[in-house]
Amino acid sequence: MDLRKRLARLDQLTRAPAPEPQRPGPAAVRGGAAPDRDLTAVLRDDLGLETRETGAGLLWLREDVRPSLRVPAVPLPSLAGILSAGARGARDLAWEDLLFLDTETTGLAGGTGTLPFLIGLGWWRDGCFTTQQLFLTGPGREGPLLAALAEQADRFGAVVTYNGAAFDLPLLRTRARLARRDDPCAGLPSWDLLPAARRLWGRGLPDCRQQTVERSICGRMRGGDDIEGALIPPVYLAYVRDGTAGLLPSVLRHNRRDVDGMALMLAAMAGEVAAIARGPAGAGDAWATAWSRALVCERRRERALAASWARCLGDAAAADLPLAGLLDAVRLLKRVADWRAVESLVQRGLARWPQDVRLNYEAAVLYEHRLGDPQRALLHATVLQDRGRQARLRARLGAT
Amino acid sequence: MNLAQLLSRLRADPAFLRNVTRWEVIPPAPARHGDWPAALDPRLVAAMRARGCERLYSHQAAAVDQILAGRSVVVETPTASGKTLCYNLPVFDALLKNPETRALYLFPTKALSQDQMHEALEVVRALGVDLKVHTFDGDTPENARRAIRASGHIVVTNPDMLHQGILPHHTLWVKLFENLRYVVVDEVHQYRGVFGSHVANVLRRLKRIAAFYGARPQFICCSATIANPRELAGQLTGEPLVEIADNGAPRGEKHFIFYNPPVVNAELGIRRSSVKETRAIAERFLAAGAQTIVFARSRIRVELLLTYLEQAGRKVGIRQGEVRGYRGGYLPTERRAIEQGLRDGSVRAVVSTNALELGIDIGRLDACIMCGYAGTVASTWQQAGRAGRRHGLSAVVLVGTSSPADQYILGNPDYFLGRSPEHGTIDPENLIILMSHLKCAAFELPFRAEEEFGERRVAEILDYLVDERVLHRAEGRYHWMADTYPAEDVSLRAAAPDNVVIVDHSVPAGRVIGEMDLFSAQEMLHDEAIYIHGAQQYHVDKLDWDRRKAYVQPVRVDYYTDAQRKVELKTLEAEEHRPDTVLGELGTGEIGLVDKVTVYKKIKLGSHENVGAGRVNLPEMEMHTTSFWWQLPATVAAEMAADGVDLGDALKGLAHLLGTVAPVFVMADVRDLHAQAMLRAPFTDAPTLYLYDSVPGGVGFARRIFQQWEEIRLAALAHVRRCPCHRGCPSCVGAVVESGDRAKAGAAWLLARAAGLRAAVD
Repeated sequence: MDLRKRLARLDQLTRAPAPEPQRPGPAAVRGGAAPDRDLTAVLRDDLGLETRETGAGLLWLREDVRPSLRVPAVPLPSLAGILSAGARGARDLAWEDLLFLDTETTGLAGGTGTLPFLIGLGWWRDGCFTTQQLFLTGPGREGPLLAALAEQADRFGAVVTYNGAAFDLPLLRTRARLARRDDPCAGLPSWDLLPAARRLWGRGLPDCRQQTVERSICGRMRGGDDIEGALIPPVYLAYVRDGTAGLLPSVLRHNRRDVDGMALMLAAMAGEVAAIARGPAGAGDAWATAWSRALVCERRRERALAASWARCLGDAAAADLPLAGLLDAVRLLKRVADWRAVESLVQRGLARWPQDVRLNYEAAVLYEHRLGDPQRALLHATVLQDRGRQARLRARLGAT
Repeated sequence: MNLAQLLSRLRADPAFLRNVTRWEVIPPAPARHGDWPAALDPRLVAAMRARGCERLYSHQAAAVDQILAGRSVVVETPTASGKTLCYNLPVFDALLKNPETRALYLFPTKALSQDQMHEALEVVRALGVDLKVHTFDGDTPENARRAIRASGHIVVTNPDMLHQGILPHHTLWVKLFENLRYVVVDEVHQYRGVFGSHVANVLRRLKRIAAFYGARPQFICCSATIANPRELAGQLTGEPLVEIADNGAPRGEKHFIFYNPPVVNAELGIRRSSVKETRAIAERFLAAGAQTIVFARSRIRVELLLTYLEQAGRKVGIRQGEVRGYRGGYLPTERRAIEQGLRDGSVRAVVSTNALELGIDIGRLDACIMCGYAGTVASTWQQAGRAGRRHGLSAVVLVGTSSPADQYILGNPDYFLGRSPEHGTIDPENLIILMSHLKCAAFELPFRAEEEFGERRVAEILDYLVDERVLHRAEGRYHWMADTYPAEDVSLRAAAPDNVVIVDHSVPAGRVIGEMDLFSAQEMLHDEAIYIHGAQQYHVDKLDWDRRKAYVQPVRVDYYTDAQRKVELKTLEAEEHRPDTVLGELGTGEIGLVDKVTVYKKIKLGSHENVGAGRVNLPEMEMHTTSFWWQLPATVAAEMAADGVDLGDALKGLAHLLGTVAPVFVMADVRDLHAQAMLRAPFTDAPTLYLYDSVPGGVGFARRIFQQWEEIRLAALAHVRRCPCHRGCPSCVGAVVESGDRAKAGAAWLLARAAGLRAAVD
């Protein structure tokens, strides 16, 4: 029997009848572009791409300059304590040494079968921000992209991504291995802004997706024309199959926004670093901000500054400050032996969580060893049912 | 009383002997040794000697010689014959000579992987070198994975993990693949049917990825005793293999006793409870001071027997904790403690599921009692191998249940004791399975247009997948072009990717207790069915066919349900045919069926009375699979009538009988094959018996039956003649109520006539 017929039959037999997950129809994915046009025309006219000859083959790319996105006026500050420990510090690096990178891919599953089809890059040059997008015109043609990326990477001092440490960079490494090339970003320190954003702002935001941070922290609204992430793979798959641009222009625009959005975010981080260093300006800082700043200072081993943010956290301690934040503040204030501030925080905590073991423990130790108040210490030791401590304190009380 | 005294007492006990269908004494055999291969690194030999291994057994020496000479091998020796050394020696030899070398060990279960990792770590310790051995499976913590990928010299894993976790991420495993020298595939006989057909394709993918990194690994396979280890391992690995089967390990005298509990109801083929009989026998062995392992088929039986034996043990002075249970669901530390207790003798008896059948090291015990046949001869020998020290006496008792397969074995011990008749059967070319793995392989690495997968060109299938918009062809290559991760959708344990999920909704939020393929689900999970899972009865409240979910809740009822399939034959394309010895034509090929479950019966447990019925409303299922058929001449009906037997009854009986006997020969589960007899079949226009694979596309069982038909037919005849029932029972041709009262005589008539024997009716 005809193999093809058998395949179709068997395939049909085993395919789930349940409805496929909602996908945009062909019309939505294809947009209004006319089919059957010459591919070169599509790339040139619809996507605004141009060609460049590289040693590894023809590269399709486009560059855009964003004059409004000026290089920040302040020097690039140290992001130690904000970036993850693995990222090397910003010592000796200037804004112009940073390569921003974001890829668009055929899926989020990862693994060897996921294809990055658009590599968005960005950098500051002559005061302005420039984006460069390398486009994969079809599977099997990754050579020129990877070569161009490697060449670019050589010129910079660090690569900045959003969740790139877990996603974009390993994916590019995988593609390079499959193409029997070296990892294009191998020598470059990686700055992943996602964990940094979590550390700085995560406590005050509903989530830490790039667009949430851009909107809430940088005040940037993308507007309704930004394509939804889930639609991106089908748009590219439709392009590969049919040779039409469809919604690809939107994908390219989205990618440029992701790249320059990171630049905005990094500038905001620099502002935040300065604010942290200035110390609390008095009341008015929200607890989420004070808490994050205190912990960043702790990671940067700036004890006194950490303590002052912790005090500010105590002052700001609204009714909704979580217990974990209060305990962090207690820890930081203990380090600088500010026992009165510790007492005030612990008491405030006990008013809300009178039976909490950690708070009672802090109180017991504080009153027994630091503030010399065995009577109150005994109170908390009793809550803790800490018999050793109770006996010790009773003995002490009896002796006096 | 010791074991020898107990055995002679049993030999003199007529009440016991009445139920013994065979008492086989397997004589002792001395050890045969081989020299340490000269090429083996002297440090390794010294370390082995320091561990008390002075000399190799002949099969170990032969295997190591072949492997060191660069050949792939399959080692087929019994349980505890020291097969682990057959692969550990060459692997560690390579590692000592070049620490960059990597090896991959595959075991079918995680427990076995753990055990073998510890075994290999012992060798590392004895060598005093810095070599890393790790298991890599679903339990491996995320933070350990990176280190294992980069620096694990020996990675111990299972086929499922290789399929879903390693191959699709091969770029993270560059070190392993670039330096992959050996792939060890243990327990090869477990990889048969659907599972084996999948694993063969996973290994094709493994070789493809290794080749990408420039490695061409040697395969070292190990198997329990089956008829075709070299063929099966060859199909799995796609490599020519040298077979090493001459076991040089010594063994003591072993008594193998086939014990069939007495018949309670001859017509229905019901015998006295195998659990109770097992209990009584095990108590005698315990009292005789024999260290004993009892195997039971379900977890619930394990717990039941454990309770009985603890009670019995107390009477003979065995303390609490000296009788233990062992099964899935016990904590790993608990299992390790039991294994240790068995080795050092502090555990006197253990009741286990087949969890202890595989190569986990528990030393050797005095006696093994199996409550029920383990399903295959190979597994049964593996269980039996738990008893029997290298010197001295041991005993094995196989206690039969009422099930047809058990009754076949107990009634035909020669089948079991002779040269293994079991053929491990797989079909890596099953189109559904092959297509699933082609998708996974394309995800891992684009296909070249002229590339072969296994031994075949696959461009035509790849083109199909291009049309289906899964692959994209560009610049002479086929690229994965979808936003999914195909390995996630392919389970190695099921033929078709689409399954019904079984949900126990008696617990809040529901609990998933299992999955079942669509064809079986229609038969076993229809509304109102009683579904038995892990020895627990469940009532199916609702089968939501569109959502592929069956909602069940636990019940205790005194009946089971038996659904009736209506099968219609739609297409038939013969691949091969030949005449049978005397009677009719044999064929094999593809068939198309429309299969529909229409009604079910409620049947009382014990008495097998029909206590109710109901209709089933499910859509027809169309299936294409491979079938064997036996077409009889139309004239046979008259011939039979003249002899006073009826063709209709005979065919019904034959379908039941061969549905029982044929799976035994091809190492299939009873559910893997369906039998269907038709008085006047379409296409042949004659009385025809069909035996077909129950998974879409088939996995080779039907073709194997075609090859082995004469042997199977004779075995079926011997079985039906030997069955003690009068006119038919579930152990042979089916109960009289189902097959008719002339089924037994008719089936025997046909089988005898086909063999050219006297077809007379008794």
